[in-house]
Amino acid sequence: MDAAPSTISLQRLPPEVLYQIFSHVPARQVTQNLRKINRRFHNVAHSSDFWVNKLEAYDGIRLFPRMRRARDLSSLVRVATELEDNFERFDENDCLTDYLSSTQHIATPDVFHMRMIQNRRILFSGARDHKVVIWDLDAAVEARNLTLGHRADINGAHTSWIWGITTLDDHSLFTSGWDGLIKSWTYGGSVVMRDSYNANIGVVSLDSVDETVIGGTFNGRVLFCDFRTPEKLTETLTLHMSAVLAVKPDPSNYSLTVGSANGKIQIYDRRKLTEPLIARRTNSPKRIAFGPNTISITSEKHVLMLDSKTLKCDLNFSSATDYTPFFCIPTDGGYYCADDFDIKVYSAGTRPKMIAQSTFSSRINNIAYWNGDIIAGLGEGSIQFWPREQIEQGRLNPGMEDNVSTTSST
Amino acid sequence: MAATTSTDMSTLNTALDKISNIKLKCKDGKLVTISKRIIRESEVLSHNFSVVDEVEQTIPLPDIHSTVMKQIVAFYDLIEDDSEYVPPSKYTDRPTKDHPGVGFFSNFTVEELQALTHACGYLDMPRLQDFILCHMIVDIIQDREIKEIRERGMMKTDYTPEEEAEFVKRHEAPIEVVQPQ
Repeated sequence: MDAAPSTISLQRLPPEVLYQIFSHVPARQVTQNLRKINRRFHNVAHSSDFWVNKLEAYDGIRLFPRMRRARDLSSLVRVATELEDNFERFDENDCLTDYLSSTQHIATPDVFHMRMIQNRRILFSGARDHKVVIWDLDAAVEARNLTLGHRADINGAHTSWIWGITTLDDHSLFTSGWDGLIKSWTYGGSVVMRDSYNANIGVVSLDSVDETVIGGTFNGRVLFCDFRTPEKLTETLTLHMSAVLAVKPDPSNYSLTVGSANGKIQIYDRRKLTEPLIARRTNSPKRIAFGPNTISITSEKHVLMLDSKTLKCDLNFSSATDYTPFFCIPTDGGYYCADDFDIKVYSAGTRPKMIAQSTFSSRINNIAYWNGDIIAGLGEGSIQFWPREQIEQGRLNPGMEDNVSTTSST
Repeated sequence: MAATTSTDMSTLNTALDKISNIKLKCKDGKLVTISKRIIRESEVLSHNFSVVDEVEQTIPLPDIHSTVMKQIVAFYDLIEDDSEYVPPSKYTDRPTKDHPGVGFFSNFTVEELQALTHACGYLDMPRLQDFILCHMIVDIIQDREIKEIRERGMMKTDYTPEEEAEFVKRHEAPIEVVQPQ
């Protein structure tokens, strides 16, 4: 309202009134503008109580009890910001039906990895066509066309399905596959294979920390490889159990979370791998996904959200939503679920509420999330990309014919 | 209107049906006639009507000046076509800038607004509270730059120039990074 200048002095309002005003302002504006007005405003914006109340007044949201107890300001702000973003992005602007798409693979993309390289979002996708494709997502957004973001193919990267991709720095890429190899590549103007380690069994999960590449094998071993050494394999953790579906080292400390197909989730100290620090048994998972402080375990029967530090169950997602998707990714602001031909977005906390749903013409096999960017891999080999720019700009291609013809939204 | 139960509401309606003209005797001794809707929207007044068998048609209101009460009456006259109030569950659900209730307070002085704030807190009127404290004030600060917010909100910075510069430098930083000294 650009009418007559206001006669209100916000300077003199009592704190409880400021709290109430702030609760009606988007989280982004509280953090970007209001806290910089003066010290009183700053104190409200930096109050954990304010953020807990703001969140729990928001459309029936209930935080995880551990989050309410911890009152970690940074986490609360992230949750509030992403939650509000999601409602606006998917509920108000229907952005789930607005995506960029490309068919560079000819078979199902099973694995995605993203890294910021020279201030650009670079996506690596690996598929059952034995190929790794490298994408510049910023170029795709600029061109409003994912195919124009295509940067390189590594044809025949492996001789079988590709299961793992990770990077150690801007130029070191590692891949693993059903052929039992962990391969090291130099990524720059071109992609050149530098070295490989043969595990003699499919390496079905891959991640990295410091200078170590960590691979989980189909027969229950966790391999620690340093490609600077001649032997490459520096350590092996033998779990005597089924396929290691997920390995997740925490770069901020020495912990390593390992999830296996037999349902055992374990946290190890990477400096002392003899015994797990914490272990928990779940139903045999089909998929394991890691979000901020949360691990999602998807089995035939249900989806559980575990505290990534204690492995205690924060939420039985299936009971709370009466829905058991094939795959579910927890993020700060919600849950992204894939199930057959559907993608569904839910709000965060212990009372997830579906914000949006979209149905695709091909089966959704994989879904990934990085800081507002969402990627899905479809059964016939195409990749769908929902860029984070939707948060600020809304729909990027409102009239895009392909989007209209292949999706429906609730 | 959320605090009254269905039983209370029934009692309230019965009580209100018996009365045609409800007056409040204000702090300055003056009487202000109010609508049944104001009774319904005030947790305090509606509770009073729903639990007392014999309700006086003139209710003492020793904490609120008649001028303030008349402003509340004028506000409710302005929004008489609005449906039952449901507090917004999301900030995006609040009334838009062109809602007459939002513009109603735009020429109020600071003192008038503070007296109204006090009155709606006393009477516990969520709709009025939201319009005064949030909707109009949010209109001053939402989607505006820092300098403009300070101007419109008549506020001065109490940050040092060094702290201001630090904010600018770390504009996109996570919230926990920037702490004033």
